[in-house]
Amino acid sequence: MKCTRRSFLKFASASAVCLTLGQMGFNLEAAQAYAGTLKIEGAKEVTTICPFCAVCCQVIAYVRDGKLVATEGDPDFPVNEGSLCAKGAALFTMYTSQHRLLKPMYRAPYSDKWEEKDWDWTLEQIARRVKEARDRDIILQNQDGKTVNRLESIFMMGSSHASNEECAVIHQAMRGLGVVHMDHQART
Amino acid sequence: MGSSCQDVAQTVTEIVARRPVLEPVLRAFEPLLEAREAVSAELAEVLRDAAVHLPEFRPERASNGVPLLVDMSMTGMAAGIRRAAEAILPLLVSQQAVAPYKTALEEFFSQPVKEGEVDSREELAEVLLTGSTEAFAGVADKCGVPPEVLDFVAGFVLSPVLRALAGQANPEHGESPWDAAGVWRQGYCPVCGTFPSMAWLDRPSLDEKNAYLSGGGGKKHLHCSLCGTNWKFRRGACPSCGKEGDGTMEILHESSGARGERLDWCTQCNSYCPTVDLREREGIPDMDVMALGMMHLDMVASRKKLRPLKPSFWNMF
Repeated sequence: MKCTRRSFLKFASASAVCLTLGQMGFNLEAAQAYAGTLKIEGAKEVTTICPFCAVCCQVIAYVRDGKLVATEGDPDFPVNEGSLCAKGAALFTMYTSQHRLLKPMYRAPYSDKWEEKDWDWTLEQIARRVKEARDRDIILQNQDGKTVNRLESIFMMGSSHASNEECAVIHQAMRGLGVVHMDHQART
Repeated sequence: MGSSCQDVAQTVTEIVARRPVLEPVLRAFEPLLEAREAVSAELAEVLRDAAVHLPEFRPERASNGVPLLVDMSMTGMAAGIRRAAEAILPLLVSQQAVAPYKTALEEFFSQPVKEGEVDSREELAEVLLTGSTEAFAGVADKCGVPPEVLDFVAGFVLSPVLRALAGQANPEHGESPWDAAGVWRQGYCPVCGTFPSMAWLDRPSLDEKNAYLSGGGGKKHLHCSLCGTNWKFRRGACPSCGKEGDGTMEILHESSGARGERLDWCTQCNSYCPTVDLREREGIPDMDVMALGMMHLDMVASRKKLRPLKPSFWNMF
């Protein structure tokens, strides 16, 4: 008799009828009681992409009850094969570090103290100052009289924490204002 | 996995030191697992003398999910099975459930090898691998042993023979052909077709050209307890139902001090496979002992109504 591919796949179910330790005379009460005392945690494995640079290393994120609990490089992704650079390896702290800013902080001109501000105040300040700078400094035409609508007194520094979509929106907003000086930190 | 693997005794000692409650079971099976390891090394030569060879690895067949032993006749294996039984059967019959069938099993496995006749031991090997319950029950009937007892005994007796056979495909250094070719994508064994009893996540290998990179490793390997084969598998995929994608696989582990021991279970089909993350351990344990030594997590899984990927005597309660 020769094995066929189809019958090979039956093997697992065929073996489901097997002897148990109990049938062999082992008393598993103590082991069962021990297993009952174990504190067990679970997590989902979700693949995602490291946001820090254009290499786009793949990352496995462990998620428990909707919260990120750990990250590691994805060994099945051919680009990084489980490895991460120093920034990627610290990805988890981007969400958990005690040094993260959770609320807007403001330091007034000539002050040496940071003070916490709410978002309404902060956004209003940003909008007002951007408008003041643009109204004051916008260059509508160059020396040859050609329309340029250029604003050189504002510089936009992007963050590698921003996603592609966020970057696209930021870029369009800056272009809309006439900002020409933009850079991004998304590189290793 | 390299030469730094712990042997059976070292792995048992380490597990027992951490979980004394598992000692009675581990100590009972330690001599059996040691004997199996010893006899499989010896059988490599016996198989060579009998001109029994593993079929050549063919990537096109592997990419279609066909294990190597499909279509292979077991003719010529009787001498190896007999030798394995001589070493292992005396240890097996000391088990309470096997003891009543000592005489029948000894007669079955120790009968002389007869040239030109269908050998019932080779027939047993074939029906075990085909997975036909009817054919297996027929052999058990001829042997005069209940099918579940013969299944338990045959697993231990045939394992060293299949390990010696599978060992023919493993190069001394480097990857096995199924890993090197990268075409084997199944959750069952590329050699014998059995589902794995264990999985392990490997350690990082030092890349001197990219020494600034951290982490690495974590690649999942599945381990077949029948023929001892290891093969690479995708982390996000279920070895049982083949589904993959975010959230398909979940893990369960102890809150503290898990030392890399966890259960990887599939949210689609509720099957699980015990897994050990070697990045969280100093030594590399013997995976067959490790499967037995993670019985406490099998008990946890049983309470959560999960089913083992490879039902075995230690994970059915």
